[in-house]
Amino acid sequence: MRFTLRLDIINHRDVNVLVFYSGQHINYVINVYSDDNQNALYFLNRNIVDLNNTIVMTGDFNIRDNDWDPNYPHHSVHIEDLLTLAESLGLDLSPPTNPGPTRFADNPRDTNSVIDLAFINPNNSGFSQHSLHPELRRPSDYVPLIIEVSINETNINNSFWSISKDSEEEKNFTKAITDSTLALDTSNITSKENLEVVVQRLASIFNEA
Amino acid sequence: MIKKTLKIFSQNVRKNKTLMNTILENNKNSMDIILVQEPPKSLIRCVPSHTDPTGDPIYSTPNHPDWTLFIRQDLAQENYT
Repeated sequence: MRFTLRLDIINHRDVNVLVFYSGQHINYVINVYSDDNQNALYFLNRNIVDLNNTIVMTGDFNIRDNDWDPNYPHHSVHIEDLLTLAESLGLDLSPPTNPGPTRFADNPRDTNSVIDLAFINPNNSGFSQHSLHPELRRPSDYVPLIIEVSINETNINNSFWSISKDSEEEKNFTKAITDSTLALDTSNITSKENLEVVVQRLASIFNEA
Repeated sequence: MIKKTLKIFSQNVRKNKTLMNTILENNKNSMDIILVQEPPKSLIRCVPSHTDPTGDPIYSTPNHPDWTLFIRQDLAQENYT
């Protein structure tokens, strides 16, 4: 599978749009870091283009909300923007298989929080199947998320003919093209029509060789 | 039609270079994509500039031979994905 970063779609320091082709569709994976001012969220809401087939949007959204953090008793003012964005991409908030904090507080007086989220297409078998891995966070106070999503890949069988290198056929093929090209009359290319005739003849030489 | 699974690892590394290198090494055979938030960035080199005699600085993030790095390359040091 071949991935590319599509800066022509979204060019922002806090958002990556990765694209890959599965043989059937172009698929998108979106990585987001939305800071305390929600710059990435507002940018995406203002600039989102048609990204059908977004499989997953995940990252650090810096939004605490009772909807995904039962230990936090408030709702965020940003929740509507975030859910509207997800909906426009055809995604739903995916609950992890092992709910828990995704960021451990530096200060013991603060509470741990859930701010790293995954939005996945609800029709995907990976929806609500991702997991949190606090045992892998190492020195970071952030918990890694591991997401497994399914993709349908079409197998395209290609077949083609080729001439073996250094074979008699290759010599004959090269000779046929060379002889015919040398015999081609290019002395009278004085108009567009004449040029077209010569180009057509050159194409025929390759087809007939 | 072949049904495949795409495995994605996502973590905010808080600009920690050692952690970033560890994630890249430990997941090289198990993950398809690693998404990083707040990646570390450091000065790679200065390139010739039309305006600055000392050159324009190029910053980038740790890479790994088993991974292809996708990052928005610009001259700014700050970058969070």
